[in-house]
Amino acid sequence: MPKISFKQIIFLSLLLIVGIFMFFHKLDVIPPGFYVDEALHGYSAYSILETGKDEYGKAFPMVFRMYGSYNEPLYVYLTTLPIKIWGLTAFSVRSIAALSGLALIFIIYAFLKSMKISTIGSLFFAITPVVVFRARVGDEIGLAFTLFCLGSYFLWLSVKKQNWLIPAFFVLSLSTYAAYAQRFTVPFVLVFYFLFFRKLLLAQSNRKNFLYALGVLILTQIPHLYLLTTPVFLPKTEETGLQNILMQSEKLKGFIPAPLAILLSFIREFSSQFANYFSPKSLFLAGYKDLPGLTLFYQWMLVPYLIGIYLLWKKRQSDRSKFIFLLALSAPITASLTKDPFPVHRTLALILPIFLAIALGLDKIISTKIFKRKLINRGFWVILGIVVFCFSLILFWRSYFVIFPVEKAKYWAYGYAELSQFIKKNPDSHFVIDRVRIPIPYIELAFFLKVPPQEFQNSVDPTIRKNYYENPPFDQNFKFANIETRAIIWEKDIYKEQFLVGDSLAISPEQAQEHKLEKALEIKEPLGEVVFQVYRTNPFLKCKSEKVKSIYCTTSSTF
Amino acid sequence: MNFSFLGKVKKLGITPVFPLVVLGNIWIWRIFTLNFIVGVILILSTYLILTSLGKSKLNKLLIICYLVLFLFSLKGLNLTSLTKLNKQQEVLQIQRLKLYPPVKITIGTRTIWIPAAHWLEERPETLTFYRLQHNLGEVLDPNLYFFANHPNERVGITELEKFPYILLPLFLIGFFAINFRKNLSLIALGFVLPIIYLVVGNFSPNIEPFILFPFIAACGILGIEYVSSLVLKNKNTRLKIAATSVFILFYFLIVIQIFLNTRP
Repeated sequence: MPKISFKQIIFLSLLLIVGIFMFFHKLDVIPPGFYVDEALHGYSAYSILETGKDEYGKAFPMVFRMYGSYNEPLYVYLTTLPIKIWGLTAFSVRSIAALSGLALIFIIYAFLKSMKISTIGSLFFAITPVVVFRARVGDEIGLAFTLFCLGSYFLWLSVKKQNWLIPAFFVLSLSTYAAYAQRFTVPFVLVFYFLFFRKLLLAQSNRKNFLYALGVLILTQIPHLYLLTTPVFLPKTEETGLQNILMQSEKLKGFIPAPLAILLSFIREFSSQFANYFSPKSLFLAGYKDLPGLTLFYQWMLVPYLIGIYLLWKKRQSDRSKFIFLLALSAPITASLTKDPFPVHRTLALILPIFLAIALGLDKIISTKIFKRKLINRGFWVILGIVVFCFSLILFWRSYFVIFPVEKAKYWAYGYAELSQFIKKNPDSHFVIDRVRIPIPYIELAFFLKVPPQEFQNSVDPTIRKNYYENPPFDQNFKFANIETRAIIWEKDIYKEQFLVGDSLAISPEQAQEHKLEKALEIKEPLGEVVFQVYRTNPFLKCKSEKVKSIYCTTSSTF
Repeated sequence: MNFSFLGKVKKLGITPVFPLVVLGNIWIWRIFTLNFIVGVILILSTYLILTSLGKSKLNKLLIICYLVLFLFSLKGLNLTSLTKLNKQQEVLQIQRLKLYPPVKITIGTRTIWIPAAHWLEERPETLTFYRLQHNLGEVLDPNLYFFANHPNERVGITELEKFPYILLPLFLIGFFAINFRKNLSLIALGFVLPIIYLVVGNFSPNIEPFILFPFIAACGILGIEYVSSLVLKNKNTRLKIAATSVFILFYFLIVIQIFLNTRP
């Protein structure tokens, strides 16, 4: 067991304090609102905890159907624990992501140490915007990234000590149960690992380890191998960039044979996406769409990034360079095959090699001698480091704690907590939630109202449970407790005593006046835009005002 | 790293790769149609960068060429607007100014109020910093030069194809093959100064950064030279011929693809 020096203890303590602050400070309220993915994971975990079944009534599923997305199960199962301790709250759902973020900075510390790169990089990693942001969202992405980094760390250790190959394959395999994209990224990483280190892997002395590791990999992938035979293994095929490729190839047809036109279009589309993942603009200089006024990495990190890449290229025969290159080449392949430019949730694995390059550049910079006297030189770098660290924190504070909670609240499903409070206060009333423009409202309400899972399970179509892995079509209309989520049926709904709920466009003032609707509640997001408006119907007045009575005026209570 | 292939560039001056790269791209022909003299100077500068790299010494003619190129690109210069905001940005600025909580530091009985909102949203230095960051992002994006900015096409701007994308990996190989220490002044003239000029100059997004053409083309040529030196080491003549033929064929196919893509 290697000894830990006093200096290291101080540094690790500092890392812990910074990590706790960055990942847990105001975790229950920032991000603002509660994103639909968080609600899906949270309610599924609650349902598993209470009944051992998901919201569709499927016992301990291998993948969670959710809204037809069939998400990997690990985050849901792990979230049952904080829900058991703290109840069904935003903090409980986000805590696993935050904890995995905290663990991640220590994994990076160990990674850097084993690569003989200055561990000071781990301190900057702990405040890197994309890392902190993802670790504070209660979904599977942060956890998957932590497991990927841990698996990659073990894989790196296996280059020196082959015994590490088995834990590496095990953890990487486990990470495929944390996020959908990992199912594809991990095989690419392993293939590249084999290509880069095949001599080592196939060496006589290592064969036993390699075979055991393969055995572990196959055993742990049995659930996926089973799912491979079902339609739920690839539920997101529409997200590939195939349409873009076919559209591009149309322009070439007539001049170039069709197969060649498609091939060239594919190469261009794939390579443009791939290059985009390494572009200084995407990583350091252009706004990160989730965080206003901030980039994925701090802009100053561009300098150590370029130096790091140069150093990696210069020493490209070394194991360290080869390992970082293999991660960099394999991590963005999956995301490059999709149509979106830089979807961070699909390409978080790439953050690891990018950061290793930054840390390498940082290491080179701080080892530069500017002053002859060692003490002055060290003092200079310490002061500069503190200035840069504080400057980065100010930028992060501005974006994440000042602007983000206000400007992005609308996109983070703001207002459901307040709406749920109103529904709770009116337990005997019926609510119709217009879901035409509101993404998947049923799960947000089930979460905030803490609808008993058994009650929810009873309200869904039982054939879904029977054909769970056949990917039956997802119907956005739900009916549970005193709530219905569907489009408003104007011919009927106004003749029944109930509440109609929608966004600012769902019910116009003219419609409200015409149908004698009375505004009961209006929920605004922090910028003042209406996110929900709740109207109480008045069938009596409505019927009274009509010259030609609707058929529902007499039978209003029958539907 | 083996830099011996750079010697070949020095000896040959113009290799067969040179016309392939400097003329085998859509960008130079567009520049020719806009300003023939600039096009010629760009090709000359590319050649002079290559010869200077071989000798690790800056050519005086190259400095003159760059001076002329800087003069030609003065047309789009817009120094005054670094801190100027458009209507949309002004609205956002006003909105953001209201979001900041009061920030204070208390030392003993003394309280110092920090105008964080003003410093981070309004000060000219801050606005300049954000603008320079944005401009640097535009200039340093490889997708701008090799993929007509795909997949980050900008609204209201016609993105134009420049170099064939097959040159991107070769450009990177060529760039990293340069001995930075020996060629510091050349890198400063051909790469760093144009970037600073484009970033600080705050050019309109419609203005093309043609001043970077010689450096990108030169790095592309170096990259091809480097890869071909590896291929030529192979004793198998058939393989050499096959690799060269496939590369040339693929290069031209991509140029045709880019040309067809640019048609409305």
